[in-house]
Amino acid sequence: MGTLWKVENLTKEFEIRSEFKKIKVTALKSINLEIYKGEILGLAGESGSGKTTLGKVIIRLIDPDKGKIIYRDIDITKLPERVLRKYRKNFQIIFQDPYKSLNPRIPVGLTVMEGITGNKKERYEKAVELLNLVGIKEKRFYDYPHQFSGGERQRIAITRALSTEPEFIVCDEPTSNLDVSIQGQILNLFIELKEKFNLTYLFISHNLKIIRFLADRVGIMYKGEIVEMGKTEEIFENPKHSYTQKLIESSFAF
Amino acid sequence: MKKLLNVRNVVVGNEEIKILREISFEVNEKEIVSIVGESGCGKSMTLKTIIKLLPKNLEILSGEIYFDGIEIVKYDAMEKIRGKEIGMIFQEPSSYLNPLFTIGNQVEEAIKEKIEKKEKKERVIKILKEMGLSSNVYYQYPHQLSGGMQQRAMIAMSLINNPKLLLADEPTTALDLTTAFGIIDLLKNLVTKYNLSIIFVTHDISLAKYISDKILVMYAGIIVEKGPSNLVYTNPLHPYTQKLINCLPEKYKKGERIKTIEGQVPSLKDLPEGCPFSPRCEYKKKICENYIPGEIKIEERNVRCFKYGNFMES
Ligand SMILES: Nc1ncnc2c1ncn2[C@@H]1O[C@H](COP(=O)(O)OP(=O)(O)OP(=O)(O)O)[C@@H](O)[C@H]1O
Ligand SMILES: Nc1ncnc2c1ncn2[C@@H]1O[C@H](COP(=O)(O)OP(=O)(O)O)[C@@H](O)[C@H]1O
Ligand code: SF4
Ligand SMILES: [Mg+2]
Ligand SMILES: [Mg+2]
Repeated sequence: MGTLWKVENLTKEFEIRSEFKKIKVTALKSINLEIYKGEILGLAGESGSGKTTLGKVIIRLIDPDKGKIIYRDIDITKLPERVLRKYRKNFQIIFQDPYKSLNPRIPVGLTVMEGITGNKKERYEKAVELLNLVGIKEKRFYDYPHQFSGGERQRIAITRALSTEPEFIVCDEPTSNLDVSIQGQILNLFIELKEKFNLTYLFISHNLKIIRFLADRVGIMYKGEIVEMGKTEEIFENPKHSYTQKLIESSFAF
Repeated sequence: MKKLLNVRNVVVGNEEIKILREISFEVNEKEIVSIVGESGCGKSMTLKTIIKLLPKNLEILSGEIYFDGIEIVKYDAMEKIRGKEIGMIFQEPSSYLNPLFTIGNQVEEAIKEKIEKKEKKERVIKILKEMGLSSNVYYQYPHQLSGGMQQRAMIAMSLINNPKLLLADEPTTALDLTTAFGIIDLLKNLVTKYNLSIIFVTHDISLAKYISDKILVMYAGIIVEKGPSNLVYTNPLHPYTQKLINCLPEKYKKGERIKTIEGQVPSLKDLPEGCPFSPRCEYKKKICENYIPGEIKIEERNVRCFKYGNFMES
């Protein structure tokens, strides 16, 4: 497996203003990480540990303060947006709340068409094909996001992400808002799509049961740092860091 | 064991739809009872029925609810019970806490007893500590607290009047696992410490098994299976319970596919004629499409399914 992403010393601070003073929060503390082509890299850790920030910095939705982001041997850390644009379609992000990636005033089919290139007919047909793939029928092409259930909306958000033919997707807690039954369907879908399109995922979840089921390797984040990283089975069988141990213990208590 | 709550054949709805159909269950003193099921099955409505906070277009059409010697359906002084004898907590603590007031202020405000300000403050600080919060929280505003701390503050507020019953509607669903685990263990401990009973709503049946003594499984407004948590989880009888358990990712190895439940929860407006689960059930027979199964007792459980009790042959 080749390396798709390599990040070195990534650091990110946020400034929060309270009434009287400014406080700095360190969201990422010199993170080093590689993501191999074709793998599912799981990322777990408690709320506020920096998982989402890391996902967003890697695909440059947020700029880091320090460090390097290397995508396929290209250092994209400082690439200006107009140059970066030609790579943008290669990476996508899927959020916990699908409303974030769907415009409430645009019919879902048209949202999916936006990412596809070609003439209008080709784009329509491709959008229908993708929606079909995730189980949304053509007759619902012109329906609006609010007319769908939570699980269906997440399927549409996935289709929108797939529309640019990406090779890498950050999945940020994509099933946390869903029932266990719908969660199962969406997890299966992620596996099928990965095989079909040769995708690579950074899969963020605080649910270690999902991470163990899905990920090839896993990184455990704690207060802005990756405290432990390795093959999924090895981490679960023999967690070294005390935080990882605690996380596994509480996750599998029930 | 003494019964605290006894819900008998309760039907909730209006002329058009029935949201809850012949719901019956009991909650004993110091018992935790979970309600599980997919979204839209009627879990929250069951809690709202018990405290009579139903949406305006819905009402209790028949049945009785006995709580600590009172029959609630006909009772017209619910304000004496709500927030006092029966406490409540919800999935999103932030939407129930007022952003403009300190936690201390809000918990004090909830005290129904007429006592002096100083005594109120002592009581609030004591309960905050019992919930695992520092006394500083008394002076803080909701936005200064994490989701887990907000939920602990909500629990403190719901327990400040020493209720006998706590209704908890998915109180940990929005929290990360380590935080959720802390809240769950806190709730378990409260049962003995406060002589409390809890009805705990969740869509995660493995969590229900961990926290509760009894599990009620709901589907389309019907309790399809109820019984001791361990039995329901390790040896589920109703096909819906079996499928709910089979959806859990921890039941599978990497690379396998999760066996999900085909189809969707039916809309209450066009429910199937017979068993509401029949369109998704692999054991369905002719009888299932024409009749709604009644409740039968089997292996320490109450189940509503024609698979049990010599019906299938017909
Ligand atoms: N735009 C922002 N402005 C200020 N602080 C921020 C911003 N985004 C994130 N943070 C802070 O950075 C830290 C890491 O946040 P992040 O969202 O990456 O955590 P997370 O691990 O994804 O948490 P969760 O599990 O709750 O989603 C937190 O302390 C958060 O409050
Ligand atoms: N005011 C209302 N009028 C009619 N139907 C309602 C109303 N409120 C909720 N429902 C319906 O009642 C059913 C049960 O809802 P709810 O108890 O909230 O489900 P759960 O908590 O299990 O997800 C759902 O089908 C929902 O659409
Ligand atoms: S009554 Fe029939 S359709 Fe309903 S769950 Fe039982 S076997 Fe399935
Ligand atoms: Mg996040
Ligand atoms: Mg609910």
